[in-house]
Order: sequence, then structure tokens, then C-alpha cells
Amino acid sequence: MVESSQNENIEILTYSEVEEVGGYIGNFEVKIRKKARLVDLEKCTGCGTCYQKCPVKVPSEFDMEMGMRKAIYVPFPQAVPNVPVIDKEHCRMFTKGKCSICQKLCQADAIDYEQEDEIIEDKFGAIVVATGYDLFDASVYGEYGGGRFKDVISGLQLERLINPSGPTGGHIIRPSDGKEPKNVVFIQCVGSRDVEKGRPYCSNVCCMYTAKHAVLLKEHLPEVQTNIFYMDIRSPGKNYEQFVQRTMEQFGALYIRGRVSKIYQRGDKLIVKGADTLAACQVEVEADLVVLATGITARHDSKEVATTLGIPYDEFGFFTELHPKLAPIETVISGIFLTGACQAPKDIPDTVASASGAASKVAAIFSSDRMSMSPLVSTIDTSVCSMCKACMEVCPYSAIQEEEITLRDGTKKKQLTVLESVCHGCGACVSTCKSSCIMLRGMTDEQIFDELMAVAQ
Amino acid sequence: MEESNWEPKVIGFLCHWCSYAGADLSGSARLEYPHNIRIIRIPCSGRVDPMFILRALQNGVDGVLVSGCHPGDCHYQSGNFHARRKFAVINRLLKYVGIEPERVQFSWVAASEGPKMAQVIGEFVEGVRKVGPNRLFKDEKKDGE
Amino acid sequence: MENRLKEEAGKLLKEGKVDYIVGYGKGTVNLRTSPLITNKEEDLEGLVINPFIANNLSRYPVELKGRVGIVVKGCDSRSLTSLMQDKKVKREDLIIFGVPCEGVVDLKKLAGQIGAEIDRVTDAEKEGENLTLQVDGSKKTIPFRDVIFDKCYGCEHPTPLEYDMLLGSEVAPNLDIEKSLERIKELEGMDAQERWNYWKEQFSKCIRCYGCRNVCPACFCERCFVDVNMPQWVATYATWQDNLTFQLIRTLHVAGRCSDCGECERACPVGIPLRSLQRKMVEEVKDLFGHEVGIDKDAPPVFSHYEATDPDEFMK
Repeated sequence: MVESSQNENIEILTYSEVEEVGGYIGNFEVKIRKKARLVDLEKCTGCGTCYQKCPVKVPSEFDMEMGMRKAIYVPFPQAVPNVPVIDKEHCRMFTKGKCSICQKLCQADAIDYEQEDEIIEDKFGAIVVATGYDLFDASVYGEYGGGRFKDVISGLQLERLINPSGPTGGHIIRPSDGKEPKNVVFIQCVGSRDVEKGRPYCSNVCCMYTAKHAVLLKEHLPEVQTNIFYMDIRSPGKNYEQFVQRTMEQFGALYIRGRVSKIYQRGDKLIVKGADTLAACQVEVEADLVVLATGITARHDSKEVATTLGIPYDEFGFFTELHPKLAPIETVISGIFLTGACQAPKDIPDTVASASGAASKVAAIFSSDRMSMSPLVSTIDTSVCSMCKACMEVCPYSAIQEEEITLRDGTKKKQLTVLESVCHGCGACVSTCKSSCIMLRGMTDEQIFDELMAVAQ
Repeated sequence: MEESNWEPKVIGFLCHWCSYAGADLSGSARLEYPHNIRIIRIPCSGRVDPMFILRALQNGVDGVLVSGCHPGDCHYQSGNFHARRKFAVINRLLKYVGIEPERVQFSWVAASEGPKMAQVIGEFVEGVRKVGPNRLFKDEKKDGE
Repeated sequence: MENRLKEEAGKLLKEGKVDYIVGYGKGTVNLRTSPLITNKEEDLEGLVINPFIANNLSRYPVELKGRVGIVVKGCDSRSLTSLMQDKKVKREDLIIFGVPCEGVVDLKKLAGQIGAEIDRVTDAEKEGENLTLQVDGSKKTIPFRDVIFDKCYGCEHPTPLEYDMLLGSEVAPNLDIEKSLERIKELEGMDAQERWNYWKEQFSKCIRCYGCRNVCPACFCERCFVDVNMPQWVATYATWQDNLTFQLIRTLHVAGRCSDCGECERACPVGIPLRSLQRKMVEEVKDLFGHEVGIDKDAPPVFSHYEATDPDEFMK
């Protein structure tokens, strides 16, 4: 992120939302709401005094609510730009109407409680959608405690515990009592491959991150025993299978093929009851810590994003690519590309590959003066068009627009025109036009009529 | 053609992205469907003009099948939804003027539904066979000649 | 009513608020009225409002350039609203005089009732529930309800829904829908073959004068599909097959736009019961999509949008 923030061709708008998208490839007109962070981006030096002195503490979203942040905060240590934002919901200036400690202490005079949202309207040549994913909420699994047990954590929470800049400074301890765990159970496929929970798909990344966690745990706490309940180990990437094998052989992870039926508390231990389907027996593990390999779901607001952009999404809220095999990065809207987990669960190499793909697709558009398009698009015979605009209304791509032309005698006339670069050639306009003045090249009424006459013979 | 060895002749307007591919798939899966159907490929069920259907019937075709993607699956986002509105009205009108409902059929078949495509075509052709040759637009006098 | 219309219309022209007034004037034959379209104040003296104002005037503002003051009945007002939905007229370009309508006299029915040609009727006046006529110099009284158009029996919106000035007071809906649908029900009672033969016979009469199309406010296309010759969907000469195909396609084109004003049937010189097609589609569109024509001028035309929940049961 730091690298891209320093590239002069890249402008990063953080804390901003795309509100409206119009136009078409090469000419997208985008309205962006740059939300008021109440800290002046230009003035702030990133010294950090404000959030050190802020008196309000709030559970940190980035630390998965295992640590605290302030009401004025930088979301995570490497955030770009390194400028804090004020959380209006918790800041005392907004909840109680007084405080202004940060404003008084800020030497750069960057705090501005009155700052308002800014609307940016600009034109863009292409759009890459990289809105990512949400973590599956494991509390729907009653058998894993439904969120009641402090020591049942998600993989991402463990990730924060291991991290040196995390809430514990990299010490892996039980959230309940701060003791180091000796026996750790991992449960795979939590919110993945589970039809009943509405998540029939594989989340793609959990097998590998669980193996990684088992390795990291062992490296940090050599005494620890890791037990991994799994359905199948899916490790088809390059060197992935070898990594899993090493996790077992070198790092002593015990892989148990089977599901966990129940977790309950006994003393300060968690009793994990499950099945070992390979040994065909019940197992019971006395665990200090349970880590759920929670799966990937689409962002909670992905459908709104899709509607704003006009791109389709599947039943789970992931954006749909133009073609699953031959056009996995493109969408039905030319000039809008997908990358990363907003399309489907993806791991890092896949995400980097699709991001590079999207970047090259965009570069390809930008590097040529002309674009080649499918010639099978609609055209309007404006001399007979009666301007009822029904075609405009049915066009899913807004490819039909109104233009004003000046006739030879100087009078102005409004007429419709098809933006050939935007039209996809579906023909909905053609059958909607009652007077046949819009025609789909390559699939004209005449051509279909002739086909019809030939086969009706 | 002699009445006795009459075979129905039906036209299928199939969407390129789903039903046409579905018909293709049923072929590659070696599923059989009646050879009575002549398929015209269209980009989307939304491209189908009611004129196609009436003109086909007027020209003596025994039945017309229009098939597109399931609602929500349109390659062009909304073509089949618009088509469905049109089809609903066409269906009612044709029935009202006295065209046997078996002669005009609309269906949703996905690209992956090869067996369904074969089944839809099969059932449709059988339905048309039952109602017999299309004599709707025939002139009685000329027929007698 | 008439005087108020003349006065207000005069004011509009004088003040330059409209460029034209579109209303009804006396026709050349007794009782008949014909459209009166003018931009001259002195012509307004000829404006009439009476139970004979059959024409649906809503198609005229489409062709007139400028702002128009127009007289509409209930059904006409819905045609006008439908034209707004189709972007053929703009609400702000119109000053609408609404005429609450108790039904319009069908002159063919009237002639049948009195057993004489219409031109022998010299005067007619609606008095309460009756129509008082002067036929060949003698007075004759007949029940008004017996001589109004079939469409009027089932009229749900006799008072215009969209107007700037209402001439008179609101009229209650005429809810004898069964009577209005009588012919349709009769057709529906037949079997498919009988129905087909019925229409075949009807369209054998058609001379393709295109009166139905030319009078229809929903037929606003610059070029009609029958005039397209590449490809030639419909033959230009009159055969019953092509006549029927033409009318079926026209029916589909105006479905969702047709307010059942009945002008097509009134204009038909050979007496094809076209309303039995159009009115049927009004019912179907309402049944399928809950769409009533000309109610909401801001709603999109019925075939320009869709609902994911549209009826699907007819699909396989």
C-alpha cells in the first residue's frame, strides 16, 4: 500500500464510498462520497499524539475485538494514509458535546469536528472491483458454543494473537484467563461446505491457513499439541500439499477426519466431542483453546455495490464474472473488472493473479487509442423513430442515449443514438420497438425473417 | 404432404446463452430429441418479437417454441424478464383468438440442462402432434382445389 | 359547462398560456361532433360539450407543436396519461379541461332505437335518465342507458383522473362491467375452433383502411410495422390472414396503452368488433401485471419494465 501511495499515477481515496456509476467503458462517470474523517489529511503529520491521549476506549475491529482502540484512531498499524479518523459514535465531542483533547493537543491543527462529507465527481476509464469478503459469523453454530465460550476463537482472531503488533504483542494466550494453551483444537469448514447454513461452497483458504496456524503455534509454543478436525484436506496449490504434510510430520499436528458435534466447558477446559471417521470411533479432546476455521462470505453490502455498478451477483452475493472459464476477470459491463474474493473465495496467489490480470486488462484498454468491439450491436434509424424511448428503458446497459443534433437549416433536433461501445447486442430494444426502427446488426429482423421462411418451407 | 404420414414441423427460437447451448449439450450427451424441431438461434429471449411467432404460424409451421434462460440468469441481465412480460400477453391473446395453446410454448432451459431441453422439445412436439397439422391460416377454398 | 369552457379557453389563448385549444365542435351531420382544433379566439364560440362527444382527442397534442389546452372525458384522460408515460406529450405542455362523463351516445344504437337515420333527428337533449329527441318534428324520449357505447357500461373512471379544470361535478363509476364484457364472455364461451372461425370471418371484411390505427391514441409510431417492407411482415394487400396478423400485432403493441376508448371499433367502416380484442387485453394486462392504463403518469410503460415476481406459471 505504501508503494502504491507513492506512485504518482495512483490516487488512493480511503474512507470513501462509490455512490453512483454512470457512463461506459473509457468514460465512466463516478460519484464518490469522501466521508468526513474529521481530521485534515493535508495538515496531519501522523505523529499519533491524538490517539495516545484520547480518553475513550472502544473494542478494536482490526484486533477482532480482542484489544482496544481509541475514539480517534488509525484502523491498523500500516494503514495508508497514516492519518487517524474520528469515530463519531464514540467520540466524546459527539456523545457528550465536550472534550476536544485531541484538538488541543494537535500541533498541526488538523482536527476539524465540523468537517463534512465531500462529493467527488470524476471520469474514469475503467473500474476494478476489489471489495473483498466478510468473515463468516460462526455464532450460528450452536454446537461450537454459538459465541458463548471466550476460548473458542476464529482463525482471524488467532492471527491477531500471533501478530507482534496484535493486542497481546504476539503472545498466544487464552482470551479467558491469559494462560498459554497446551492443547489446541482446530475445526475446519465452519461456514463452508455446509448446505444447512446456506454455504454449500468451499471457502478455498481455510485448509491452508489452518495448517499455517498449526505451524506458527508450534513455533511459538513448542509444548503445544494441535488437533485438527477436517472434512477433506484441500491443498491443490503449488507446494501446498507438501506444506500440509510438513505440518503433520515436522510440526506434529494431529489431523482427525471428522466433524465436531459438541463443545462444552469443564472447569477451565473445553471438551471437544467429535468423530474420527477413519478410525470409526468417537473422540473427546480436552482443549485449552478452540480455533474455528471460519469461511469466506460475500461482503454484507455486496448487493448494493453490484446494483450501483450494474453487475450481476450470485445467490451468495459474490459478483459474477462474464464467463467462468474464458473471462473470469471481466464482468458483463465492459470496462468493469473483478479481482479477489469479491468474486469468489480466493487465496493470496489467486488474488494476486486476478489483480494482475485486471490491471493488465485495464492497461490494455488504456494503451490503445482504439478499441475493437463486437460489431453485432444495435443501430437506430432516427428518421422513423418516434422517440417513445421504450428502447432506452429496456436497455440493461444504458447504451441508448439522447443526443441533440443541428439540422442543415439550423434547427435543433433531439434523437436517440446507440453507444456502440456499450451495447452488448442482446436485442431487447429491437423487439420492444414497435416500429422496427432499431435493428440489431447480425441478427436483423430481415435475417431472422429469412431464416424463418427457409425453415417454414 | 399426405395427411397420413404427416410429421409436425416446429420452430424453436432458442437463446444463444442457455437453451441453444442446452440443446447442444443434449446432443453431445447423446440424448435424443425429435428431429421435428428447426432451431433458430437468437441472442436472448428478449430478442423475440411476437411477429416471429405469428409469422411462423401464418406460414404453416405447426408449433413455435421459445426458450430462454431462467429468470435472474439472463446473460444480458434482464432480457428474459422483459420477454416474460411479452410472452404472458402473447400467450393469453393467442389463446383468446382460438390458436390451440399446444402450438406455442415458452420455456426456461439453462445451458447445463441438456436433458431438460430434450424433454421440453420432446413433450412440445408430442403436444403439437396431438392437435394435428396447423390449418389455422389455410384458405378452405384453395385447399379444396 | 360549455360557457365556462369557452370563457376559460379564451383566456388561455389570450394570455398566451396555450398555443392551441383542442375540443369538440358541432359536426356536419346532426348530433355528430367533430374535433375542433384552433388557435383563434373567435373559433371558440363553436365549442360544445354534450353526450355526443365521442372522439378521443388525446392524440392531437402529439402532433401539435406547442402548448395545448385540451378537452377530455374519463377514458380520453387515461389515454393522455398513457401518452405521457410514452413521452409523447409532456404534462407541463397541457392544460386539461376534464369533462365528467355519464356516457357517450352510440349513434348506431340510437339509429336502431328510433328506427330512423340519424340525420332525421334535429335536436337531442339529455334530461335526467332520458334522452329527449326531435325526430321528424315530433318529440321522442328514450332511456339514455340504452343508447350509450358498450364501453361506457363498465367505465371505472368516468371522471378524468388528470385535469387542471373540471367542468362539472364528479360522476360515479358505471360499474355494469358484465354488460360491457358481454361480447367477450360470449367469445370465451366458444371453443377454440369457433373463436378462430369467428375472427376469420370478421377479418375477411377488413379492407385495411387503417382507420383503427389512425384513430388510436396508442398508435403513435412514426412508421407502423405494417409499412416496414424489409422484411415484409404483413402483406400490404388485404387477405384475412394478413388482416388478422396485422390486428393481433397491433393489439399486442397497444396492450398496456389501450384505455378502452373504443375509437378503433367506432372508426371501423366494416364493423369489426375490435373492442372485443382490445378490451380483452385491458383485462389481461390488469390480471397479469396489476397494471391499469393511464392511472399513474410517472410509472414506466408496462412493457418497459418488469417485476421479478411476474407470472411465470405458463412457462415450462
